[in-house]
Amino acid sequence: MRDVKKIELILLGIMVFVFVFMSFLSKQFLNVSTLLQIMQLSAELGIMAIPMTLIVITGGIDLSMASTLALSGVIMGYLWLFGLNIWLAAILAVVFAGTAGLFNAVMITKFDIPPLLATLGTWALYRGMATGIDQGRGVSGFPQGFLKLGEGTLMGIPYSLLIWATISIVIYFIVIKTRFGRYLFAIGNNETGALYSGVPVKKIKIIIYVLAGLLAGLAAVIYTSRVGAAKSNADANGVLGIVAAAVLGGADVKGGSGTIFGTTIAVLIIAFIDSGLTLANIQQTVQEVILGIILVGSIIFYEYVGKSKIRYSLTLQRDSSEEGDTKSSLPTESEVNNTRRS
Amino acid sequence: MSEMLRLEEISKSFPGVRALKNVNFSLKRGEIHALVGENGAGKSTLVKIISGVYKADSGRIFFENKKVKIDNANDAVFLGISTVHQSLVVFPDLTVLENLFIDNYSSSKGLIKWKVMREKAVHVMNEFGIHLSLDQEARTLSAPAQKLLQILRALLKKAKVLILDEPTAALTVDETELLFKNVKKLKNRGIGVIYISHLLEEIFQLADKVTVLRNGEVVTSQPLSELTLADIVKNMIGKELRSYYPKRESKPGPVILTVRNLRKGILKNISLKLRKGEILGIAGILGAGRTTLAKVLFGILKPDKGTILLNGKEIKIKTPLDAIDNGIVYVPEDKQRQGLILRESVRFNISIANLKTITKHGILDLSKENFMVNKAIHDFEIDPPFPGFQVLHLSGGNQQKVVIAKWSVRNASIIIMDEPTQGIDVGSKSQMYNLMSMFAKDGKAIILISSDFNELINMCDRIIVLRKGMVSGELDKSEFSIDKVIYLSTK
Repeated sequence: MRDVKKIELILLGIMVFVFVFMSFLSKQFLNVSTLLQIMQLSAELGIMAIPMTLIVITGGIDLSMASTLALSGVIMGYLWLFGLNIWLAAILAVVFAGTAGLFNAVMITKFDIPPLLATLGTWALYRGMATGIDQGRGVSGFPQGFLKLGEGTLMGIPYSLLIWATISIVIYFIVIKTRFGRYLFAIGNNETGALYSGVPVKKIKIIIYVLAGLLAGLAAVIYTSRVGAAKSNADANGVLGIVAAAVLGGADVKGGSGTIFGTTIAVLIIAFIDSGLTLANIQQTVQEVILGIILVGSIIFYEYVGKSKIRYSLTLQRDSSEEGDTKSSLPTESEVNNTRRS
Repeated sequence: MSEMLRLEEISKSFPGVRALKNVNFSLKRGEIHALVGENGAGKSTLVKIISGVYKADSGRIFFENKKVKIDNANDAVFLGISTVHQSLVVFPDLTVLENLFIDNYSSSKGLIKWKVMREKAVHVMNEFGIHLSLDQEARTLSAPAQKLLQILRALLKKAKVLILDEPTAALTVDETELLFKNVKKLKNRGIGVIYISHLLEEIFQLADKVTVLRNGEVVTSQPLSELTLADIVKNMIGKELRSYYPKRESKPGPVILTVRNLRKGILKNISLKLRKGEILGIAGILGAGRTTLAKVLFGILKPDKGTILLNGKEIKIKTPLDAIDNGIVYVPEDKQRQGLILRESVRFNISIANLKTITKHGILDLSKENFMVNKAIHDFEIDPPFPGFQVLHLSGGNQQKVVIAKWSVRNASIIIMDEPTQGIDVGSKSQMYNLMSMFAKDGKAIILISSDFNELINMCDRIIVLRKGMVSGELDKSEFSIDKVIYLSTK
């Protein structure tokens, strides 16, 4: 178990540090419009990192999301090219992306293929389909009204940022306040135990993988609108960022832990580092190296630092397996408070 | 008989708890010395000190009359002290030979010397008269043979003292006998055995001497011939426990569950009826289909054929959720893996099975949850009584209480219990029986699957014996006897 509160605090600290560091590195960094732009650029990452977090909490992973983004973007582009209304095309693209997620879910729940392999397969499959349809041509020249989605603002705040924030907040509450949220953690900690406790394990898994597809589709619409073109190589290395954000955000790849707030902060940290380095004219390749380091580094870091410490003292006593007599275990203050009847 | 191992004034504390206080213990050559006590009495701590997992805070250890220091597990193995752990540490896909040398491959220049290893294994097997086929895959071994494999592994390391921790927990009566025969062979060859078990009856079949621990202190240590079972129980719990089985008056009501011609895997054509307020025992040896039956009724396995009627109406149970919605709940045999989510708290574990009752439109009502969980902790005397306590660190008996608490909260009408008292201490067992009796009195129907024939005979109103997936007999209370149950399970 990880100490979520502690991880969230640590992440806030890191974010502040990165922020300060980057503003020293580049003079343009500390500027409201630059910051809003940075966040606008990371909206797609932020949106996709949310369902990834849910999936990682259950002990799964979805490597196909960035490919789903490319494929549904291309599909939207061609539907529009063939004469469909752009908004209708966008909706169909999102629905299609949901189907792509459903396909992952069926492989995982029905055929028991490990999520890593199932989605590694569709990572290649969806990207390949996108390339096949598009043949590298790309679709552009979308109507002005559509391009506004990616560029426009409401009272100075980019639309895409508003969409991201709304989804974050809604799912944040779903995770901590609902039955669905509890089910996620139960599955991630012990899938068999969850099943034997009456958790609808398959249903929950289907929901999260479909959600991952749907949100990748939404990200595709925003991405296409922001870039002004639908291409098969869209968000080519996106999967690295999505996984890195969830993992840096405190989601445990072994399952059972994770937080939407942490993931969201992690997306901002990654975005600040990325843009700070770009503004400071540091090569693109360096940024990828840094993402890789973040991914691996945060796993190691949380192995040591993120462990739930509340239990630790109790663990020591009880480590004598069944021996440490329960009567003498000293409860922590919070536990004592918990026992008071409300 | 010369003394092999002597512990003097051993004390050990963990933060906030004194696990052992001035414990003296001695083991002779060729002696089977039983170590008993309730969960939390200090048995495991003592054994872990002997095997080098823990270091004692104070006290002395003598091995073959020389003072020794056991600082880590290697020191213990070097002296000749080996532990056979409760859980089967066997690699199923490797052969017996590979398993025997898994932590101790003989090699030269990086190449494994199979021939040398084979010779060594044959030598040790001959010496102790324990024989296993070396090229068999470990998965094909029976449960007691797997235990023997672990014992051989210890003997190969020239063990002189062998610690057996609950070796019969997963064994049936016949298998236990087979194991005992072999343990006695070890004794005749001069090996000293420290034997830990919750099953006191077993100790009388096997041990020479018994040491009883309570709250980290030695209460008594004497030859078994001077003690009765009642003495030991009294010493363990510090008071007299007349019988752990509650007196119950059974008044079975109308039939609640009917199973007709059920087929699934090993199960061939099972039919049975279950009444309200009844405890129905399901007996049978390992592989008779007991757990399969439970899993079909709980929706884990889908039956190939057959019908299930609840209160006369046919129901379809496709998932555990269907079963639970129909009031059928399951306390699984493997409580740690199937019954609990170990890393989560008591609160989480109790509410996960009851989220529908504490949520409105899917949103949790935390005060309702707190009330429910605190009531369950109070009703079931879960100790320590903290909702936030991680289940992993509860004792076996308390873990079992959490599993039962989570189901009784929702007023289930049929409770299937699969080996509910396996691996828990006398006190917790007694509590478990009282709970069952209470449930039955409340009109719930209980299916009790158990390998403990005494338990079945004392608790049940009726026993159905399974053999090779078929009902081989049904016994009414008036016909109960252990002989009959054994006969029907194995005939």
